[in-house]
Amino acid sequence: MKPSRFVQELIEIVGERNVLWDDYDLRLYEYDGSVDRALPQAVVLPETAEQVAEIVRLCARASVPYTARGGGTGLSGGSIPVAGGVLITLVKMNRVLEVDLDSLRAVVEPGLVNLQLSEAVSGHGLYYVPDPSSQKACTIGGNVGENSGGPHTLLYGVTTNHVLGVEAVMPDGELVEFGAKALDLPGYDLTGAFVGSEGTLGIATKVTVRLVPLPEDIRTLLAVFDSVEDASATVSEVIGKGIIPAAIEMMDQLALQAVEASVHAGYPEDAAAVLLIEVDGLSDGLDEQAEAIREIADAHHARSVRIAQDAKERELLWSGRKGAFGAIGRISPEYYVVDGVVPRTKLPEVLKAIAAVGRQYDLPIANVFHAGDGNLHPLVLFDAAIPGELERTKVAGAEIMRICIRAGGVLSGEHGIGVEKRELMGELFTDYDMEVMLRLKAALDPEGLANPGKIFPTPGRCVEVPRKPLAGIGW
Amino acid sequence: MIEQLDLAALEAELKTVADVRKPDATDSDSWSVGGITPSLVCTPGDSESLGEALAICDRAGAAVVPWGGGTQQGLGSPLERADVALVTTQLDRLIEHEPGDMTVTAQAGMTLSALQATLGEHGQWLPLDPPLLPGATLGGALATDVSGPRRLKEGGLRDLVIGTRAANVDGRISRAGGKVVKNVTGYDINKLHVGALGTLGVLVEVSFKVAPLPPSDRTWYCTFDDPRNAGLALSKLLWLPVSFAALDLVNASAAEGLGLSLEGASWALLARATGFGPAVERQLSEFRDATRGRQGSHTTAVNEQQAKETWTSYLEESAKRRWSPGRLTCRFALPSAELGPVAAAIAEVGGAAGKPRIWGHGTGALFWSAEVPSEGRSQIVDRLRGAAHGSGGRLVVENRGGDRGELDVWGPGEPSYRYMRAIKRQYDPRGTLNPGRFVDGI
Repeated sequence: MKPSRFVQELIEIVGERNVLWDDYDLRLYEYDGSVDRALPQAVVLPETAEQVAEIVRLCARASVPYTARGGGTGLSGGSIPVAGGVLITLVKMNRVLEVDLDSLRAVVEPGLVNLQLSEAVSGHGLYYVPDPSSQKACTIGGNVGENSGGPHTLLYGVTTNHVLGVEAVMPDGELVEFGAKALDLPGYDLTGAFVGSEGTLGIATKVTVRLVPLPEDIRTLLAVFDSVEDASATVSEVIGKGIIPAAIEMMDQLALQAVEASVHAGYPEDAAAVLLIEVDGLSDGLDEQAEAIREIADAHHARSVRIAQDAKERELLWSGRKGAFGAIGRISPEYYVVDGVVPRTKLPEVLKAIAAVGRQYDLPIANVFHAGDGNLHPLVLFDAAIPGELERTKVAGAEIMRICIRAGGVLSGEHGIGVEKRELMGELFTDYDMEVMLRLKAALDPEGLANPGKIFPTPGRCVEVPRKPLAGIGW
Repeated sequence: MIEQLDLAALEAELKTVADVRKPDATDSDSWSVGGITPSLVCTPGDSESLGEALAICDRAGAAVVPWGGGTQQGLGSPLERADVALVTTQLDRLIEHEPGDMTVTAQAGMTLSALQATLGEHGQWLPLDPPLLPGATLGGALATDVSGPRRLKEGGLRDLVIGTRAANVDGRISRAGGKVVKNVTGYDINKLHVGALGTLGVLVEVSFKVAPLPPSDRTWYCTFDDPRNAGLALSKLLWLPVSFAALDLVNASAAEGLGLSLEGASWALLARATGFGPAVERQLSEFRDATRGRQGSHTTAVNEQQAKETWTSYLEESAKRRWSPGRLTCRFALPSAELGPVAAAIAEVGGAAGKPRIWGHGTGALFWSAEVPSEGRSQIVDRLRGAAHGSGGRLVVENRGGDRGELDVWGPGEPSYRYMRAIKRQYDPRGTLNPGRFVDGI
């Protein structure tokens, strides 16, 4: 098969080795970490910002949609090209361009893997705070798109709090900079609006981030509870006492059993819930803080509280949390990760309601989540080989989202809306709220070619987005 | 668009939804925006009527100045037109505060001090210490993106705001964000309003993250002859795993009246540490080491009562200098490492006309303020702006000191401004909100 004229033009921009267009190659790019999939008509791997700009200009001239992709670890389908078109994969733009040790900033390319940024600066006693569980594979550009979080964002904030500037190719094909190393430049905070816009307003080609000194010392506690309510009450009281830990993670019984079967982190399998709590900062007073947390947990009937004695024990305690999703994968053929946020004080009633959903749909649900900021991750266990089970799982997931909304929460804390939850947006926001959000889209991407079909409900609500052959392009 | 505005008809229509009056001889000065006084003052009683009033103005082609406490109306370029001051002060209710969630929602016309008093009863605060005059509202603080020394540890308004409701020029109210601390659900329209000077919509309700009041709060300072050395000490301190609540650089003029004794030195670096006792004590020793190693001469501890007064008067004085008539006050936005070098470069600017007061925060915000006769101002702004741009920063004129338009408030154009104009066209196509006041003539 000969490449079409459009593909030839892509090849002229980035070279033959950076364009994929035959069916076999394209199939490798039809999915990400979510349950949705769609085929692009071409995949390009640009190496420079100028190439990204040329690709976007070519797409604009030909009215071809395009979708940016980083590590492909997204959990809401943000990088799934639901309208077909060109998939712009940024993994070859993966350099750390500058580390400014004096002002504590780094300037990096979007394809840089999250963990590699922290590794690049750790020798200077610094790190990049947001640490999504996929940090060994996800990219900074993808983090910008989805405003990613992670376990350690309770005290220090999520991606939007750590990204201070962006160079982006806008849908008009221009390369432009917003923000800088300095805070509060004149003008609208376009960096702030860009972060979390899921690739629908342009493509980041350079990202300026905040670097933070590594904590001098860390205390990690594991508190074991016989009831989820006691664990939740402990979370609220720790924070209410003015101690803001760097992380507070909760795991429920099903998650604990799965973890112990695979990781052997020393979690009790018969407990109702455990909390993994971490305080960090100066070593002075850290033991007192850990002790204060232990007392609060004891007051809420903790069965036991263990404080990691050294780095090895700390790692062991975390290995259970970090390996939790993988461990679930061992006890169930497939699982669906739901991401929702509720006010912290609503956790006990929301967890009860989620358990009821599991019973109603006859699906086991495990909970592994960021309790400190109310960011839930129910994992719905299912087997797609059983007819109707995937559909039932999706319905149960939507039901869980409605529980979050009724509790005063939102649809996503760190995974984004993507394709997955776009039809639920109307249950949280009015049509008018969304119309006002879409004015931003209309201002920056009037043609609607940047990652179409994301975040907002599709008119007519069709499940399968047909891949229309694009007139006049000759794929 | 140039049609004559029928004020009487506008007033009559606005009266159907809100309280409306004309500024009179006794208070017309307090409604002046850089020398222009709006013809009408419209004070709606609730969010919905505020929206309706805004739509009435938009349809009539009347220029609207969103108005909270009116404490920072000097910001921005001179208005092209000002017909109606749309006042939010009746929207002053606390909507929701659940201490266990550490979030709060209030109407945008509530004053910052009233909110802090309410939160204080529960041992919490909105962690923001801006240089604002009494009466400043939450909506106004957000629209002006104002922050203070403690932004260093606590973040700024862009980090603290989690949800907003805004009246749009079509009169309807839209919501963005939520009441939870972590959220990726739709576009973050909240951030568009932060620092937008009300040019995209009028905020009617805001939700924030709040923080616990720290158990321990200590302050020290060290004197320096050369601000560059103070800047080096500051950079060193930011690099240590020691999270100071504030690190501020002040010159001797700015330190006047703060109860600090500089003993003839020209500069001081102030450090504030908040948190648990032992960590706070440790921060003192780190501060002493870092300043000693950088030619700092005296490290002095401020006793707790005095420290409270020092920070309060520091912020009050900053607020006054930002707004007192006849003063020129500029804000630099700098990478933090440039604070010292830029402070050194601008210390003598405007020297003949009046001793400049210079103060800056560890976040990279630096202020220069002096009484300057109007004829020399443009050159001074040019020189200051040159120093800002040379350091990878920008400069904004905050207090034009009565100037009517020759000063370049925002500085030269940027390639990103055309996207800002496109956004403005979508949200306010007729240019009703604060016309001409923002960057690039927005």
